[in-house]
Amino acid sequence: MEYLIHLTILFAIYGILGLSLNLVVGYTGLLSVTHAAFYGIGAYATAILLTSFGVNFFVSVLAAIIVSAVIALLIGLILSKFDDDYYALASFGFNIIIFSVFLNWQELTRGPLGIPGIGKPSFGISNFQFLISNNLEFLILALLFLGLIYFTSRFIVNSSFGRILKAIREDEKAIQIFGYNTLYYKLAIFVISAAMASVAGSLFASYITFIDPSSFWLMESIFILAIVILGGLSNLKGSLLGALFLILLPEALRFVGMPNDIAAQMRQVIYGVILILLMLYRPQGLAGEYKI
Amino acid sequence: MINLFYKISTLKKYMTKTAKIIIGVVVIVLIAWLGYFYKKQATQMGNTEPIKIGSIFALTGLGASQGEQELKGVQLAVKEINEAGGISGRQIELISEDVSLDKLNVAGSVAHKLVDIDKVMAIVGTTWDEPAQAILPIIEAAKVPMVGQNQTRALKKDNPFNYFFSTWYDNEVGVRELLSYAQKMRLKKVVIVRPIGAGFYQYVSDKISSNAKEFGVEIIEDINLNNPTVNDFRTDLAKIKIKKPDAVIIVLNGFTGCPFLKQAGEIIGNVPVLSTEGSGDYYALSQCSKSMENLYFSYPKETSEYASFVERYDKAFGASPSTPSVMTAYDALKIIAKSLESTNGEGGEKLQKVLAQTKSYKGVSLNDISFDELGFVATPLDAFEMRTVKDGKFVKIR
Repeated sequence: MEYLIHLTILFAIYGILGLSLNLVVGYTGLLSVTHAAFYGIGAYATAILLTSFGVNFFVSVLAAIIVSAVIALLIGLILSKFDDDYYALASFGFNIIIFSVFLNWQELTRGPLGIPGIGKPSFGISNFQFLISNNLEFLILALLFLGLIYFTSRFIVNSSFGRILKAIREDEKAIQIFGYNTLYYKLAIFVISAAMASVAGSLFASYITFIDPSSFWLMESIFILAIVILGGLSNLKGSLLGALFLILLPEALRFVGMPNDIAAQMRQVIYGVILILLMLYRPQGLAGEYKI
Repeated sequence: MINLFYKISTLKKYMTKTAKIIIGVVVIVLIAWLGYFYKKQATQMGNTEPIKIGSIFALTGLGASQGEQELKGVQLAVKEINEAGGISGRQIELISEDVSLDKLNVAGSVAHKLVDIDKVMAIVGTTWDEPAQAILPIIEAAKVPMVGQNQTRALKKDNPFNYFFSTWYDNEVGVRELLSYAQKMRLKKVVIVRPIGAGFYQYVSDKISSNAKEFGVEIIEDINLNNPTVNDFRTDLAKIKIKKPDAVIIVLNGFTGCPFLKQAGEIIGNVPVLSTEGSGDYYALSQCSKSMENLYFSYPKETSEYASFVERYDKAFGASPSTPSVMTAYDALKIIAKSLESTNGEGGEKLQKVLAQTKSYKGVSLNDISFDELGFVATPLDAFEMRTVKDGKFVKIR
């Protein structure tokens, strides 16, 4: 049961990451490969505030959202100078820079040593405090956050703001002719997406209780992008499906009986083959409307 | 036969509702009775279910060359125990999982799977400190003991974990042997080179720095390469050359040590290279034995059980154990098995208590394995010796 709860918590965390990145990649058509950086900023903000200042988890989530949003605004301003492939490459560069900060600003982040002993969330007033001490309670919290992010994302994509994002994806020049300042829209959705990713980071830090820079490396950005593409671009339910599939598939492969000597290597090969086959026969993803 | 199937299929038609209920109740009672009978018989005959033990090593990615060897050490121990009749008549079933330094995000899932689904009694692992750091809170909460085969004492510094033990040597003892050699050879000014500033590498580097003064050694530079997979050291070697050190201390394993030694030979010439046990790797020896003739490293002394172990290992896998952590992994599994023998196959708190009392166990890695109050092996001050390479073979420096 604990194992299932653990996997569902991971699904909730990666679901949030998939939903938030889909707003940028799927709905707006901006191929961002820097999402792990905002995920990491959220995780580090919560870890530092909880371990060094004893701040409440929910306050740390708020602080993480603010820090991520401010950094995303600055990065987004620079990224707005680029288009298409150059946008992807530049966002790639920002992931490397922020990873380097996690790794080398040792006074703040403890560098490669990571931050252990991160506390669990608690809430209440004065003497009535409720500490989320077991994984089932944490799962409820993570699902609440996932639901909040899902409905916020749905509200965004169904609003007039969301329709302009889709128009930017389809033909940015055309929408500019109608007098829309596309920079404002692209920047806004990038900041919103980063803020959402930081919530996933806060949950991750508090759940695992230990973070180090290796969790926020480029490969993590690519993994989140894979969730979005595999689940389906421009489809929120697709992001949830993608997260579910990519979290559960490697776990399911652990139960395929293979000799100990080759099991680990074979699982990776089978995992890769399944992903290739899926992209061959379902290029728009599991529930996608649109493909790159 | 066809006629029989026809009769059975048409029987339903003639059955009343009451008859169906009666048959249903009879079937349920029958299943329940069979279940009870089976359980009773199993209790009477004694539990013959295999005892599940988990292993978590780096089998793919970073550290796989070491993790695969460690798994073999554990497999050999399981094979020997099972051939000798198992633990109180029960065979060991080894469930192997893969977690490496570059896949830390799966560490939690792996630990939960072993503990909650496979219901292992104990775990051996992990390869290096970082994966263990992520796993320890889980095994501590689940009360499943874990015995590490190559964890440094830095691991328990931040949080005390009662369910974690380690058969790995105290690295400080090896470091002091190395510094003692530097003192004897009058190597006063040294540069340290390490791939990253975490886990094993940070711990060893810290121990070199904190002990150096006592041996009259000055650390003139501590180079953190910030990349565990680095194999091009030329820029750093060029910087080292300008500093004119008496020796270079590398905190690298055999896998990365070879490129370093080859490039060091080209750029800094005959400046001696000192290192710890990670450099005494047979794979490295097969790749760059000539370059290794300028390498001087501290390595655990061979125990009385070592020669026989190497023979058995060679027979099982057709190779020699390439790193000391093969022996410590083997000992870790054997100590778990011995403790399970004492608890009559019971895990949890009882197993933790027995493991914590491990004293004077005659192992392959050390003649006397006793866990201290933190669960680490108390390492004798003379457990290490200095080695180098001569004519393609590791030799002891006298």
